[in-house]
Amino acid sequence: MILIRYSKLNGAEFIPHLDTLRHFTKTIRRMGIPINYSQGFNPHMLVYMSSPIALGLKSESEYCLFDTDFNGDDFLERFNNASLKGIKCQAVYKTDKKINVASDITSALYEIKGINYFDVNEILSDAEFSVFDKRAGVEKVVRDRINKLYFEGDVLYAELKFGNVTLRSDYLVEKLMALYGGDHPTVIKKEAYFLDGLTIDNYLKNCLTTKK
Amino acid sequence: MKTLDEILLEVERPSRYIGGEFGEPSIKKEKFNYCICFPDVYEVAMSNLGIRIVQEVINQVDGAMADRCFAPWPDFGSRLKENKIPLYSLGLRIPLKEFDMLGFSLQYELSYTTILYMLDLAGIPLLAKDRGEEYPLIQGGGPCAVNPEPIADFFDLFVIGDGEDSMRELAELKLKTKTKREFLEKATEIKGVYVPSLTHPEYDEKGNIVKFVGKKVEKAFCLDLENAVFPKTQTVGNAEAVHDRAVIEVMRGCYRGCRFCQAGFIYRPVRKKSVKTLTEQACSLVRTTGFDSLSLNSLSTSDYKDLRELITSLKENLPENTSVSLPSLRIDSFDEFYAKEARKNSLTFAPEAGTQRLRNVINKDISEEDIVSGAKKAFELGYSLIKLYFMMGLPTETEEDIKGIRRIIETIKGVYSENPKRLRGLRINVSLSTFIPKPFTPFQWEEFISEETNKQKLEQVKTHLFAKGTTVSWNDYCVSELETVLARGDRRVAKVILSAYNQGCIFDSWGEFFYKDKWNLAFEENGVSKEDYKRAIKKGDILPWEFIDIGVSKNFLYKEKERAYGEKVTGGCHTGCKGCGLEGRCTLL
Repeated sequence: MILIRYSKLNGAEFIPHLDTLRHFTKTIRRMGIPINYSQGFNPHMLVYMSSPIALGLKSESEYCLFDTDFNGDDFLERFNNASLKGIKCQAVYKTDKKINVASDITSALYEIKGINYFDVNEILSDAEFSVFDKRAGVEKVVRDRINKLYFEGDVLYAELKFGNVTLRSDYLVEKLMALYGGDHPTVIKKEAYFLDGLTIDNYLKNCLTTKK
Repeated sequence: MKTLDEILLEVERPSRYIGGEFGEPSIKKEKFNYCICFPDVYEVAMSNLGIRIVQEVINQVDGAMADRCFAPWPDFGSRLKENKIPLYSLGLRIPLKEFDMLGFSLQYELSYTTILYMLDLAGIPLLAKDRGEEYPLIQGGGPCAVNPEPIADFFDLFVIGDGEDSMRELAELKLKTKTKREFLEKATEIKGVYVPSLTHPEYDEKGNIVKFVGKKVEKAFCLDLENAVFPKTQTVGNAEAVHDRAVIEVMRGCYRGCRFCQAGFIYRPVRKKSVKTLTEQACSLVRTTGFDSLSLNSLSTSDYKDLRELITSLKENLPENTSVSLPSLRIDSFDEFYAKEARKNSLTFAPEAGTQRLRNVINKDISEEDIVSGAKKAFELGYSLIKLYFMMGLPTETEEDIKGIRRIIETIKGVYSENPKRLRGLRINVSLSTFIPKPFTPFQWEEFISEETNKQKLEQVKTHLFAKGTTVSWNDYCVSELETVLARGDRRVAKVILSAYNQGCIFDSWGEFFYKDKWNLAFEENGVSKEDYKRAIKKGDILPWEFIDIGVSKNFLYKEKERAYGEKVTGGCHTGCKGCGLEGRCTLL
């Protein structure tokens, strides 16, 4: 099996989750490499993606697992030649295990530009800090979903829970805009962390040694 | 003001508007910049083969490029307007105004207001007479261009017929000419080109056309389809297209000559590609796009003589797991060879009329036995949903014909109950579409059904067709009525379209946006009566589209109309030449 880390930029951030999955199946076919299919009545390609991100969110850190017996060294080049300019593979990891990228990614780091500088402790010390959840239509207390929040220069970084328990970066940005103001803020998802903060390399090591 | 990215976050399916798809033609600004425009949403536009061919034709001309632009859904369109962002092309993302020519694909009459909507969003004046040298030339082409008169005021030129040669010649001419006037005058020398400002109808005081001033227009033909330009790859949509698959064109034209069918006449003569070429084109498309299905397009693919050979060749050469679909199977040619690949959920047949008598009238040579044996084979293969297409309001139709539909349903049910392998109950979906007398068909002189008669027919439908396991659906009368007026209209209809657009009519073919009252008001305001375009046309009358010569003679069409009333089947081109007027150009002879 092959796990890839890929980016969704240059317009591709507007391609929704299921269309991205369709894109992957077509990319694999264009690459002309072997891939395994499910055994059901309507066989489908075995491709597993990390949890969906909000439509329009740029990301440099998405993951996808392909159930393939392909063993060549040029997966990355072949993938990128067969993919959109906005969806590019950045790294390839070979694994024997079926990694659950959807459930094992538990937090993500976002780079936020365009929010006016403020004292992050105002939020970090506020146990009742809440954002408006547009989908549910209610204000939600989310302080425990913020792992880290810090400025580097005028760029704000936020490590937020992701996956089953999640804090959408756009909800946070909306709240920060309301509190502190800013100008056309932009967000990029820079990193995804596995099982409470592990980087991909540590996770893979951990996964291969402990999860037997 | 919001930025484009911010707007994209607010609208439905923003991936429609970002371009950058896999396989999009690689282009840069050239001396002649053309943008093909499709007046419908991305998912529909991306399914159209014609615009891909035209784009390829232009891109092959030295010094020319073709980009593309599709109609934005109203949520995006209104935000573009509010934020003063002009409508842009998908490939290079440049405003439409910066192109030298915009080419609109005219696929159906109900997209006319959407053309105005796109021009408006691009900041381009809607009427040709209001556009100076600073604006792009507006060109139209596609099936509806055979009667371009209702939209002639909005366009600088039309290409009538096949675009392969005519579009290339237009691009070459544009590179050689300076002013619009010079270009348009010389353009009329190209086969298929119609310039409304250089040809116009003259009316008498009663509003009848007495003559056309200016040049007659001959349809452009691409007779050598085998060697015609065909794109080696296909752009893969970022959002799932309606027909999300690779498409090859097996044939152009149809042998059959069903008397109501416009495509059957305007795409004559039948031209086909060889198995070898089709296999090459299919392999190229499937390998470069990654699609897992391929569609064999034509008006009647089962009439392609070497179909078995073609399917065998495709199976041998296409990557594994590629499915092949035949979108236009005829009931009399349906068999297990074609159907065994497909998923066994539903099967569509189009008998079009309920009785043999009426099928003779429309020259649809399918018999009751064909329907029975087709259905039998389908059931043996495991199908349990049958869709049947019929027409309502055909010339000479009576209540007997509607009862005939019921008989067909009952016969099919009977066949199903005899099938020992049946697993579940049979479902039959009956779709009734309203007959529209279209230009260049033998029925072009016929009247369009009146609202009153339509109501009576629907009562009959309810009496005779409502049965267990059967769903019946029909078209909205007003939509078909409008389609009739727009299809058969003359230049006076343009102001109606303009008023309807000004009142907010766009995407008329999308049920949710069809505003009957606004259209009625538009007709009223401009003193144009729908009845004038719905009524039967007398033999001697000059038709609004008569200055166009599509190759099929008016005489032939009229004889066909008479044979229809005599309930005589003429058959199709495959049973011998019927003398439609294309002798000399017909590739079958």
